[in-house]
Amino acid sequence: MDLEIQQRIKDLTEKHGAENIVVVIGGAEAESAGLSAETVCAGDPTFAGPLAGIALGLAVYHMVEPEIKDECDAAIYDEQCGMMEMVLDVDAIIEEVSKVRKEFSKF
Amino acid sequence: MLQGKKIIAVGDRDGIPGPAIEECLKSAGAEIIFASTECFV
Amino acid sequence: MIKVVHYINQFYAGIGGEEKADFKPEVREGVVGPGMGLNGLLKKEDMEIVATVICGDSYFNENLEEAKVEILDMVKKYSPDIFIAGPAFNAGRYGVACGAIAKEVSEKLNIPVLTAMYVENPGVDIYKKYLYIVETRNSAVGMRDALPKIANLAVKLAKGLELGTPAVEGFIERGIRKNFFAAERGSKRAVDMLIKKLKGEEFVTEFKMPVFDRVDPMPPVVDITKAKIALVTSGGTVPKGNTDHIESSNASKFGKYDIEGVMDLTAETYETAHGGYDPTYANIDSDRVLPVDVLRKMEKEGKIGSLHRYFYTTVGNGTAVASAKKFGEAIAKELLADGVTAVILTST
Repeated sequence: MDLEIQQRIKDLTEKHGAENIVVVIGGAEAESAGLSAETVCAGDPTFAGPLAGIALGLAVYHMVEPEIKDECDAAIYDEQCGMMEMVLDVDAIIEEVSKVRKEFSKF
Repeated sequence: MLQGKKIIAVGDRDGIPGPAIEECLKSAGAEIIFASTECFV
Repeated sequence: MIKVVHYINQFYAGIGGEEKADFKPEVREGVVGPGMGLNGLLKKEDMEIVATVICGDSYFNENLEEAKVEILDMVKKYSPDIFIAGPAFNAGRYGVACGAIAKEVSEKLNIPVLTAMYVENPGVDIYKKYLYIVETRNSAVGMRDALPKIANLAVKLAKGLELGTPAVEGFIERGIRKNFFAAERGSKRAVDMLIKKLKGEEFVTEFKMPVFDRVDPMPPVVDITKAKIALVTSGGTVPKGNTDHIESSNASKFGKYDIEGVMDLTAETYETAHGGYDPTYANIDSDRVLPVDVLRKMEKEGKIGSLHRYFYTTVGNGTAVASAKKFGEAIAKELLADGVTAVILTST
């Protein structure tokens, strides 16, 4: 995950409290989505950014996961995400991100 | 589930971009405190 | 407890990216960056990273000798039992720095060393025969895969345990051959392999073919009579005495020499430094390798525009492809700046 974004997330978490934040990601593939998810829960797995070794434990979901998708207005979801959803490997993404969340998220 | 939570949207140019996540979550009544879109090299 | 010293670059130390690549060597107690992850794995085996040396990739590569000395001093102070550099993934200067410093530590401190990078990193070709290089993916995305492999190999090297094949231990083949008795004899293995190949099934070769690079040719010179031609050679032609000490094999540098006013290379003025062919005839007349006399004649006759006043030379014998690439790039830059139209490159 981009180093500047890592820093922003770190700062915002300090400001608002980890228990109040939910990160929603849009990663194109299971692997990159998994890495982003891991970065905000367990720490930057590439050890290159401000979140290296820092486990914020944030709740993190991918946009296509039912826990997020179902909360949104169906028409708006379809308009904004409908096309991409058809191209993404949704099952693989859900599997990877929820695996990371179950293992590392504290909220 | 999202009630009262502050959302950070990290979109992906080749997946679901930041603005799309924002729009969807606004429709869910959530408060977005930060949104961005990444490109993976 | 087995003591480890870790080497990383300025980026993984969180100091900065390319703009901080001139960062001078610095040592910090304990772990920095990826060392955090690595240490977690090593501690289970009673090993610990006691210090991390950080150095900018540009600083290292541009100040090779000083950097090696400075860093070696830092490493020495901790009396480590093993030294680990990287992982560098596909970052070329970082990979070369890791290889260079690991080799230096290995030779001067006589302790096991290892590094890690992507197989196409230039550091691999240069250093694989001296070092254990764990194979990684081509970017930091592969950090999670790389760290356990590095830790496993580090444990075995530090404890003097026996190593399996490169494939098993995860390091890049060093080109070292070990004889062993196979379970089945060669003729059977060869026939089995052929049958698989004919059937289109997967098989594992016992001898890998080298991979050769292909270079697209440039378009032809439009008007050769107006062209400025430069001579470049890997045949090792140097001024008599080889004052720049270009190595007869595995050259670490190239030379640039002025032939302004030189119409012919003679046995008194030029020789070859190349150790890969019988130098007798080249030493009698170096024009045989670097045809200055012919080109001067052509210049006089108007067949070419002019002969460039500098020639570039190195020894191609056993020179690392990565070095050759580096020399080629540097020489080409100068030739372009000097308005050279075309090059005649001679070898042996």
